[in-house]
Amino acid sequence: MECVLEVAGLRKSFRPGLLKPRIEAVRGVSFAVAPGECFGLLGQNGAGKTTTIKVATGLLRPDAGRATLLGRPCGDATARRALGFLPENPYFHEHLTPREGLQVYGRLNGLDAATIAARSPALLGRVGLADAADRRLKGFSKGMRQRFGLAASLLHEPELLILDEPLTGLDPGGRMLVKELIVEQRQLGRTVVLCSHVLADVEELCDRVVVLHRGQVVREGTITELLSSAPRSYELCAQDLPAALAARIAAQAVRCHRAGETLTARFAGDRLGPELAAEVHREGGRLLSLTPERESLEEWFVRLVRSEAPVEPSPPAAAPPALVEAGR
Amino acid sequence: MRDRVVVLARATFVEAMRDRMLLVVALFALGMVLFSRVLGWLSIEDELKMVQDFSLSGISCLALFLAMLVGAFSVAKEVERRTLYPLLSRDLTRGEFVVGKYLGLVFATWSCLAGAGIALLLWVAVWGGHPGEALLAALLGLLCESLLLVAVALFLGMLTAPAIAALGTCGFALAARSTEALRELASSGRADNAGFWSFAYQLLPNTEDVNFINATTTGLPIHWEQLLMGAAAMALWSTVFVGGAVVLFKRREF
Repeated sequence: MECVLEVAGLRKSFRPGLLKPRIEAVRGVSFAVAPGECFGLLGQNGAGKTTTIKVATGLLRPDAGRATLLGRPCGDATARRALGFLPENPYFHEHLTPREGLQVYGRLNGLDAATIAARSPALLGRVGLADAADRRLKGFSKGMRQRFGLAASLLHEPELLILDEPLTGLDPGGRMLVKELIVEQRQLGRTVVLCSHVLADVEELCDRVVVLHRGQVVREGTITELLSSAPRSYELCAQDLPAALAARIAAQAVRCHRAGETLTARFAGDRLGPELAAEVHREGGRLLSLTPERESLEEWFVRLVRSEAPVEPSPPAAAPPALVEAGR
Repeated sequence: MRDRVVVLARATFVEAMRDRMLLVVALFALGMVLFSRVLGWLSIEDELKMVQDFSLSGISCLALFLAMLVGAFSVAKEVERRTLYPLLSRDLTRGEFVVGKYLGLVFATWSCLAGAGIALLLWVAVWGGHPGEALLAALLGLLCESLLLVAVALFLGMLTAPAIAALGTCGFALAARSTEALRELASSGRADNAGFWSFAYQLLPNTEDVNFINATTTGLPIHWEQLLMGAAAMALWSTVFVGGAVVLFKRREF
C-alpha cells in the first residue's frame, strides 16, 4: 500500500545569523502516513514539527533525507495538487474577499472557475463565512482567517490535508467546527496530518502519532499503544471513614483531599486502590466510587518530554536512523 | 502553466490596485499634472509645452516610485506576512509565482500611469491644446521604461532588503538614463578604451531609447521605429531581470 506522505531520514538546519553556528531543527526524522488515517505530529515548541511540515509542503528543501507525497518528491509542484495545507496562523492577501480568494487558490490547484463558483457557497457556509463572503480578508479576525484557510485548503478536495496548529486561537465554536471538519474528511476517506501541541485534541482525533523532541522522533504508535505503558491509577471516593483508616489512605495516596466527610484519594498502580476499597467496606466506611484511571496523552507527553535527556546535535552529514520506540 | 500565471497576475493586480498606498502615489501624480498649469502661466514660452513637460516629468517620477514601491517591497511583504505559504504549497512553481507577480505589478503600474496619462491628455485639451503624437510617444515610452524598472525592483527585492532594493532601483533608473554618456566618452577620443565604452553603451540598458519627453517641447519628429526598438530592448532586459529573480527565488526558503 502506497503511503500518502513519507518522510525518511529528514534533516534540516538553519543558520540564525551570519556568524552564528547552524542549528539543526530536524535530525533524521522518519515516518509514513497511510491512506485514510488521521496522523498526529506532536512536539513542544521548537521540536521540529513546523520545519517537517514545511519540507512536506515544499516550502523548505531538506539538507538530507527525503519527503514524498503520493510517491513523488514534495518539491514537485504537481505532487502538491493532492495536498491541502493550512499553515499555522494563516495570512492571505488581505485585499481579496473570501469568494475572490477561493477563486485564486482553486484555480492554482487546477479547478475551473465554474467548479469553484459552484463549490464556494457551500464551503464558505460550512466554515461559517457565508455572511462574510464579499468582505475583504483585511478585517477578518484570527478565527475567521483560520476558517477561510480551512475552506481554501478543502476547496480542491485534496487527498491529504496537512493542518498546522489548526485549533490554536479558536473560540469553542471554531474548535468544534474544525474537529467536525477533520472527522468529515476522514469519513470521506481522506488522510489528515494534524500538527499540534494541544494534546487533548490529538488524542480525540488521531489514530496514530509521532512525537518529536529536539528534532528527532522519540515515539511512534497508536494512542492506545503509547498509553499502554503509562502507569494506571485508581481514584477512590469514600465517606464516614474511621480516622485511622483515613490517615492510612492519605499516607499511601499520591493525591488526597477531604471535603467534609468525603475523602477523595488517588493511588498509583492497579493494586492499592482495590485493596483499600475492600478495607473501607470491612471497617464500616461508605465507598462512593472506585474509578480506574489511565494517564492522559497530555500527562504521558509531559512525562516523556521531562524524561528525555538533552541530546547533543550531531553533524548533518551523518544520518543515523531515527530513534523510534513504537508502543513503548 | 499559463493559466496559473494569469491567475496570480490578476490577484496581484487586484491586491495592488486596492492598496491605499498606490492610490496616494497616483493622486500625487495627478496633482502634479494639475499643478503644471500654474507653471505654464509663469512660463515665458509656450504655456502648454510647459504643462506637458512638467507633467510628463511628474509621471516619469510616478513610474519610478511605483516600481520601487510595488516591485521592491511586494515579495518581501509576502514573505513577512506569510501569504506565500498558501500559494507555494499548491500546484504552483516558484518560477510561475515570480512571473505572475511581475505581470500583476506591471499591469498595476501601467494602470496608474495610464490614468495619469489620460488626465494629462484631458488637461491639455481643456486648455485648448492638441495632444500630439509626441505626447503619445512620451507616454508609451514611460510604460516601456516602467516594464524594466519593475523587473529591476523585483530582482533587487529578491537579492536584498526592500529598502535597499528600492534605492538600488532608483540608482539603476538614473544610470540607465545616463548611458548616453558612455557613447560620448567613446566618441570623444579622451578615453583609453573607446571600444570598451562603446561596447558597454551597446550592452547596458538605455532607457533614453524610450524617452520622448523632450520631443514634446522641441517639436522634433517622432521616429516610431525607435520607440519600437526601444520597447523590444526594454522587454528583453526585463526578461533578463525577471529570469534572475526566478533563479534567486528558487534558492530561497521560507
